[in-house]
Amino acid sequence: MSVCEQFERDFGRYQTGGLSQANMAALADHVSKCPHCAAFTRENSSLRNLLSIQPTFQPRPGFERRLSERLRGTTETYRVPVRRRLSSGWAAAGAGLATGLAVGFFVLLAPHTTDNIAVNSAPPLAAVDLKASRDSIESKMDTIKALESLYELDQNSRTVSSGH
Amino acid sequence: MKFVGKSDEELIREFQGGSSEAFDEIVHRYRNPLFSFVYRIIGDPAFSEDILQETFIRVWSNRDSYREVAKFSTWIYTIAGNLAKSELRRHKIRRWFSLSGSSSYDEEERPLEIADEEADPHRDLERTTIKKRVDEEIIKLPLVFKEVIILRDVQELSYEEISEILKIPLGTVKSRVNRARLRLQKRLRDLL
Repeated sequence: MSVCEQFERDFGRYQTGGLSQANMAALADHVSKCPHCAAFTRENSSLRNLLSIQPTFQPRPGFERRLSERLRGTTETYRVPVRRRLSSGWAAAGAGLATGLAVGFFVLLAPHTTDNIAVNSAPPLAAVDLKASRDSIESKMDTIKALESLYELDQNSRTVSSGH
Repeated sequence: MKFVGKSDEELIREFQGGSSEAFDEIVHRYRNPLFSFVYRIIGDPAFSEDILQETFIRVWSNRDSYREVAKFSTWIYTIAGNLAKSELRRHKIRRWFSLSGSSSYDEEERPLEIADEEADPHRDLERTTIKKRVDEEIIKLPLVFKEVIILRDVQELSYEEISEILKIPLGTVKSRVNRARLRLQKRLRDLL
């Protein structure tokens, strides 16, 4: 391995003082005489300066309001870009099925609650009020079971009337 | 003004004592640094904001589990970093930023930057181009290099704190930082 290659390999420890005194002195002497390694050292220093002045980003205006609303347990969430929604076919299919069942419930049994559907545009990332969420899910499961019972009753009545 | 001069640890103590204003101050202090950190890991502002919200929700929900054996910044960066890495694994977002040579930035997708008070309109365009290019190369780095270079050279955390956040030995942090710098140095040579 050439001295220049060794210098690049040990540069990190050279910078942080992680080499023995003898090695540090030898590399410092090399840098003072080698244009390639001197340029390498300048580039590295320039890179660190560039990285230190990289911009600080900020979220979209209204972040605190959206966070506050989530903490209060509302269902309004950050609206997910279209590309993200369509990135998982299974997630889209599952969401469609759940939406269809929910719409079916409201149309058949509880038309006065349709106002709630528009609010629940996307599932929240984290449920703060777990008990309320659990109660809501159990309520929907009871509804789905009720729908299934209705379907079976309907099928049975058709079977009876057709004589099979 | 109420919280000027108060340390993060004093704030979390007040928050644990029931002060929601202390929590607001925590959000104010960490909103942009954490968003910048997560965005440079994930590369997508929409995902990044979701993760940022989830981070603060977890601080809110688990405030009583924080103990002052570690700095508060270590705790919150650990939460944000773990959420970001989980998101990467779940959605394989890193595939969108493979080394294909194509830009991973869409003008509409780049989040807002904090305004530069010394902005010079004549040099802004060049500076913006350079900063975008640097960020593009950071996002392209493998995760193990990306997270250390962001925390060390962009966010200027100490090696010791990075070691605690990422749960890796100090020597590994230093080695990865050096290797990340070498990779960036090669890819950004024309700018240096």
